[in-house]
Parts: sequence; structure tokens; C-alpha cells
Amino acid sequence: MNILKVLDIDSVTIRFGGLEAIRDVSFAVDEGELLAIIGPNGAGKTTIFNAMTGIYRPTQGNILFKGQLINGLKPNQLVLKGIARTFQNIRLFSALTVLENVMVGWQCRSREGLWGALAGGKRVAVNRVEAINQCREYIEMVGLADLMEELATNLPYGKQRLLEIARALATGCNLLLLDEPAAGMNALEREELISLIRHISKNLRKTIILIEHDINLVMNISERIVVLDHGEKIAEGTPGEIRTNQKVIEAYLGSEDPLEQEVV
Amino acid sequence: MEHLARFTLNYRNKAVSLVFMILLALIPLFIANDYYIHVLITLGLFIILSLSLNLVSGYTGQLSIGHAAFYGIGAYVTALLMLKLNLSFLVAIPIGGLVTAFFGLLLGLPTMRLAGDYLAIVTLGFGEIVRLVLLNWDKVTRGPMGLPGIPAPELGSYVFMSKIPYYYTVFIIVLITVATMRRIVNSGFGLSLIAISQDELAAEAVGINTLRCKIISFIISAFFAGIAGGFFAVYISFVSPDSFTFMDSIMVLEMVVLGGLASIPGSIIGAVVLGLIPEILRFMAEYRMLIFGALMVVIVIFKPDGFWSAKKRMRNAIMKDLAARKMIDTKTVSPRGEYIEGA
Amino acid sequence: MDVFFQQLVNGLTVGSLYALIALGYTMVYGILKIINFAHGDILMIGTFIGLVLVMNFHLAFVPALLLAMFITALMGILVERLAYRPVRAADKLIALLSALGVSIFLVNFAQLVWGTETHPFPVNISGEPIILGEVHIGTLQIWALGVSLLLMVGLHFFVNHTKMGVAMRATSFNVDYARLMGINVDNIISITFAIGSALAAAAGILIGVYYDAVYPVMGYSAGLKAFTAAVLGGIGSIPGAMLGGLLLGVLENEGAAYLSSGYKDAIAFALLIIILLIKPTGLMGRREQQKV
Repeated sequence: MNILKVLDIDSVTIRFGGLEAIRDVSFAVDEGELLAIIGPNGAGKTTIFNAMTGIYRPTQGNILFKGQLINGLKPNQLVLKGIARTFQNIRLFSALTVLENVMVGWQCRSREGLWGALAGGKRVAVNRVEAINQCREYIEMVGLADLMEELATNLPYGKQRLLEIARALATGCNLLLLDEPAAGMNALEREELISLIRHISKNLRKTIILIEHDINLVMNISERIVVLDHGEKIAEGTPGEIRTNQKVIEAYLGSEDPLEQEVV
Repeated sequence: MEHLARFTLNYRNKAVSLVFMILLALIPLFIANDYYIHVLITLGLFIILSLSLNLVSGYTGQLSIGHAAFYGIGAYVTALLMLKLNLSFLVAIPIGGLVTAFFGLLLGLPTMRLAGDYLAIVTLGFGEIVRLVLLNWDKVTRGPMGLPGIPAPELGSYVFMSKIPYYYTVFIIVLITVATMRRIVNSGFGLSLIAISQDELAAEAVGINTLRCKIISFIISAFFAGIAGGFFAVYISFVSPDSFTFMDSIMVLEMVVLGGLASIPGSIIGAVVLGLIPEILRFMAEYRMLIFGALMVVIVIFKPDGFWSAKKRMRNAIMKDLAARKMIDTKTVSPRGEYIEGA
Repeated sequence: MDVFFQQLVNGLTVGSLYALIALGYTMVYGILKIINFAHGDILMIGTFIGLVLVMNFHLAFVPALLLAMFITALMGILVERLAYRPVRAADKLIALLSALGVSIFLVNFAQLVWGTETHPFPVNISGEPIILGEVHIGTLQIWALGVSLLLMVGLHFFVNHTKMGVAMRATSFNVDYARLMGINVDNIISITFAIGSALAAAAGILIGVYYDAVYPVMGYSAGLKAFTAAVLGGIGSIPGAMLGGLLLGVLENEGAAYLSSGYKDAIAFALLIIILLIKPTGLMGRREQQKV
């Protein structure tokens, strides 16, 4: 029985000039899986995200999405293939409303185009209504229904992260990449985030890769964990395996990462 | 109740703009003064130019300081077509627009690699190169002497003699421009443009082909600027490189920014205000432009957000439009819905 | 080959003047990240001041040059205070428009005071031309090259070896850090404008003398060229501005000699676009990495 690999990172190396940010990293994600990538600051977690979403191109190695080579495709092309992401440093369209932000995410599914916009008419309007209704559903799902018409910039930090998730979902992705979704959230918001991620994973059946510093959250929800350190993969396994992995403990010890105690 | 109020408001707005347009259309009947009509025609040209630049620099957020080049290309192409090929202005002006649109495509390409100040510098370089070519390509453009004697437009046996037919022509072009721009910015495509101006990388990361959008916005922008240029050539019946300088590009940018970036009414107001100030200052004779320069500084210091308030800018009226057609529930539609009108 | 060397000399002369003007653009951009579009017009006013000092006050060339630089420096400070400082917090586009307002004001001011016509700039400059084979280096060229080199060396010393210069570089590196380090950023900005304007006045006077022509819109083309030079070298970089100026001067003159003189300026702008597309930060600019 061979479960289809949604994403396959095959010996990927990423170099910036002389600096090797990622060295020969391989791992894969199965359909519907919830994988976490952890590691100390500067381990190369976001770098590998950027490679998966077309912002960087791997210097060596291959990235396959559903068996198809996606090295060198541009971010927008990858979204059309079904990969969407959120950003560690929140990147919303700050002057647009919550609903408009999500509608921008929906645009890649819209068939309206420029000509449709110029021509107008009933069909275009019907499509727009459909788009708006779907976008509203995503917003309700992440719990921002009351803030539909609020400008993104006016939302508190935690809610901005939720909005980024709604925007990413609106693209109709299969694979959702979450870059530190819990950063800056309080305990209550974290709880809500955890159930949201579970909902997206279990009910929407999306494959999720998650970068997170909050080890409790990671141990709590992920099915498998990949640990990066200094650009290399040092461990991979279930939360239980990772908790007792000697290499992982060493990587975190001595670093100034506040999470070390939680890991050990 | 609120529902009803919003609908009546919507129809009242429509009625108001209709009355306003009729009044504008009737102006030549009340004002027989050639000078006033001339000023109005000039304002019409400014409005087309500022609306066209607004698409690129306001909505898409790509700073362009070479817009006069498009205006110039449209003017020269139209002039040459009418002078050399005896084409009617009805054919020459649209062709001028299309040729200019092609140059818009060319200027859109560098946005692949450049943004912000660096892109602005490329647009400046483009503007200067176009002006220098017009100045030096003697065989075609007659250099600094320009192209005089562009024939007055004819419609069948009717020849444009007074300023009034020009007024109506520019009036129609302005209406077409406003209608087109409204449709573009109040669409999904328009929303994508605003997204690009806000955060290009994020826009790309949610699936927008940003390069394509930027290039299209340059093409449309150039097309309308080219049309304005073509009309200008026909109206003045003379073109020379002096009319398409860096300073002209800057004036248009000024209209867009002072009116309020990414707002259609803003660009119109900007064009009208900045177009009128030098006319109003005419009584100051030689001090006119001196005061104008100082006024520019004062305005940006005290009104850095533009005449049209920030809240009304960068708005997309898809939802308002649908709500008005009773196609979506207005409960959650924008408390700001009211002032989205046309923005 | 003689044509080549003659054009090289001419190019270096003009280029050194472009470099002087480019320094003003680049220093202001380095700190405020705005393009000072009024710079060319400040240059023009500085040139007229020099002309007035020579013609009406009968000063000798060198004292007139120095005094004009001083007055123009004060004017630069004034312009910054009135037109740029109030909009510093606003969008950069606003500062750009403010600069253009200043530009319109200065040109029209000059037209009111001195008229729109071109004024000659007669000065008695002593010295013998240098003749090397067929290549002729005129007295004015020696002066232009000499003065601009002297000023650039002086600026280099100031920026690298004085406390003020170091503070200026620190501010250009990061305004907020500089402020935290106790640097009075407002003063640094004033000094930057003063130096830039003084150098522009010097360049303007040398251009006025070299071409024997002073007129209200002279700042436009000189400014645009120098701006091109600044971008070419990498805007924000002082050595870049010097390199860019010299390079542009030489390329433009060689291009005019071998290709076409009418399209001389077009060559400069085409070059600018090509350089930007290949290396957006110019030859010596530093790239600011965007963090994703």
C-alpha cells in the first residue's frame, strides 16, 4: 500500500552566496497529514517554507508536489497547484477589510477576469455573490464573523493570524503551510487556534505543515515532527519519539531558546 | 429601515450624478465664452490623464513619473496619422491609444524586477527618452518645430469650427474613461491591484499573477493617456515636444496624489483643483507660477492625505454594487458602503 | 585615437561636475530616502548668486565661488526646514511633491528676478592650457576638474575622518539607531542639505563658466543628468556618486563623438534603464534585503 505523498522534499540544499541555509534535507508529507517542523532560531524552517512556496529556488535537490516537480515555479503558480501559506511576519493587505483580504485569496479561483469585469452583467454578479458567500464562510470558520468589515490593520495580532489562515484557505489549497501561527497569541487564543487547525485537518481534510515554537502546541496536535538544526534535519518521528530524542535535546540545550525546558 | 435608507441613498446618488452630468452637458449653452470652454476642455484632458495614472500609481501602487510620455506618444501618432495618411480623427485617436498601449506594455515589463523609487527612475528615463526621440527624429517629428496644421476634425460634412464640439468630444471621452475605470477598480481584478499595492509578495503568495496584473494596468493606463494625447493634438492642431515634459508628468502625478491615491473621485477633484489654480491665479500675472509652487508645498504640508479623505480611498465597491441589486444581504455589507460610491 | 582621448578629457570634466551634483542627491537619499527633485534648482540659484557676486559685487572668481557656496548652503538648510521637515513623517511621495513645489517656486523666482534669457558668465581665469599631442586640455577644464576633485577629496575626508562625518554615515545607515546613539538627526540632515547645496552651487558655477551660460531652467538638465549619475553609481553611496558622475560624463561624450550627438542624452537614460534592470542598486549601492 503506497499512500500518495502530497509533498516530497528530496535532498534539498539552499545556499545564499556562501551561506548554506538548508543542507541536504529530505522529508515527505502524506495526504491529510499534520506535520510540524521545529528547531531553534535560524535552523532554516522559514527558508524551507519559502522554497516550498516558490519564493526561493532550491540550489540542489527536488521538491515534488503530488509527484510533480515544482522547483522554480513562482508563488502564484504554486497556489494554483494547491499550496497556500501564512507568514511569520504577518503580511495582510492592511488597508483592505477582513472580507476583502479573503476575497483577494479567492481571486485565483475566480473566472471573471478583466473582460468579465469590463462587460459586467448578471453572470458576473452571480459569480461575485458566490465568491462573497464562500469567503464569508471561511471568515466565520476562523471566528472573525463580527469583524467582516473591519480593516485588517485594526485587528489585534492574534486575529490577524487567523485572517491569514482564512485568506490562505480561500485559495482552495490542499496543502496549507502555517508559519508560526500561534506567535503572539494568548493562552485562550491558542486553544481556539488548536481546535481550528484540527478542524481544517480533520473536517476539511487539508494536509498541513506547521512551523511552531510553542512545543506544547506542536506535541499536542502534530502527527509527525521534523526537527531542523543549523539547516540540517536532525530528527523525524512522532511527538513521543522526538520528546526523547537525544540529538533534539542537545540541539535545544545551550541555545538561548526559551523552549528548551519544555523540550527536556 | 436601514435597508431602505441605504437604497434611497443609492438612488439619490445616482440621481445627483445624472443631474450633474446633464448640467455639464448643457454648459456650452450658458457659457458662450471661449476662454471658459477652453479651460473646461483642458480640465477634461487633465481628468483623463489623472484617472489613467491613478490606475497604475494609485491602485496598483507603481510610482510612475513618466506619464507625459504616453500622452506625447498618443498625440504624435494621432497627428502623424491625420497629417500623413489623412485618417479621420475617429480612427486616428483610437489607433494612437493602441500604439501607446503597446508602449505601456513595454514600460510594464521592468516591474518584473523593479519597484518603488527604482521603478520611478525607469519611468523617468522612459519619459525623457521619448521626449528626446521626438526632439531628434527630425524626419518624422520635425524635431523642436513640432507638427503644425493638424486638420480640424470632420464628421461627415460637419467640421469642428468652434470649441463647443471639442467640449462634447472630451466630455464623452471623460465619461468613457470614468465608466471603464470604475468597472476595472470595482472588480476582482481591481481588488488584486490594490492587494499588489499593499503587499506584492503576499499577493503573489495567494495566487495573484502580479506581473500580469501590473502590466495590464500599465497597458490600460497608457491607452487612456494616449487617447488624451490624441485628442489634445486634434484640439490644439499642433504638437511639439515641449508639451510632454517631465514637468507635465509631475503635474499629473500631483493631481493623483493630492486628489487622493486610489480613488476615482479623488483623481477627478485633483485634476480640477490643480488645473484651476493656475487659471485662478492668472490675475497675479508673472507671479502666478511662483505662487503655484509655494502653494504646492503648503498643500502637501497641510493636506498630505489628499483632498479626498483617506477612508474613501482604496475601496472596492463589488459588495455595494451587489447589495444595491439585492443580490447579497446588506446586513454585513459595509457600514462604509455608503461612501464607497464610485471610489 | 586622438578623438577618443579628447572626448575622454571632455567627459571627465563634465563627469566631475555631474559627480559634484550627484553627491547632493545621494547624500540626501542616503539619509531621508527621498529624491530631492529641487536639487537642480538649488544649483541654478547658487549659480545665479555666483554670477551676481562676480558681476555686481565685482568679486574675484574664487571668493565669489566660496561665498556663493556658503549662501547656497544656507538656502539648502532653509528649503529643508520649510518644505521637507514638515512632511518627513508622511509618505515619501508627499516629500517628492513638496520638492517639486520648491522646484517650481525656485525656477519662477529666478525668472522673475533675472528674466528667462541666458546670461553669459564672464570670468578672468588665469592659467595655460595643457597640450598633449593632439589632445587639448583647456584652462577652464583644468579649473573644473581641479575644483571638483578638491571638493570631493574634502568631502571624503569630512565623511570618513571627522566626528560629524561619522555621525552622518551612521544616520545614513539607520536613522533610528543613530538617534538612539545620541546623534542629533535633525542637525545631521541640515548639514547634509548644506553640503549638498554648496557642492551643487560650486558645480553650477563651474558649469555656468564652462558653457558661458546661466539661465533659470539650467538646473533641470544638470539635475537630471547628475541624478542619473547618482543612480548609476548606486544611490545612497558617496563613492558611487563620484564613480557614476565620471562614468556618465565619459560615456556620454564618447557616445556623442562616435554615435550621435542629438541622442547624447537619450544614451544616458537608456544606459540608466539598462543598469537598473541588470543591477537595480547601481554599481556601488548596497541592497536592502527584504525579510520574508
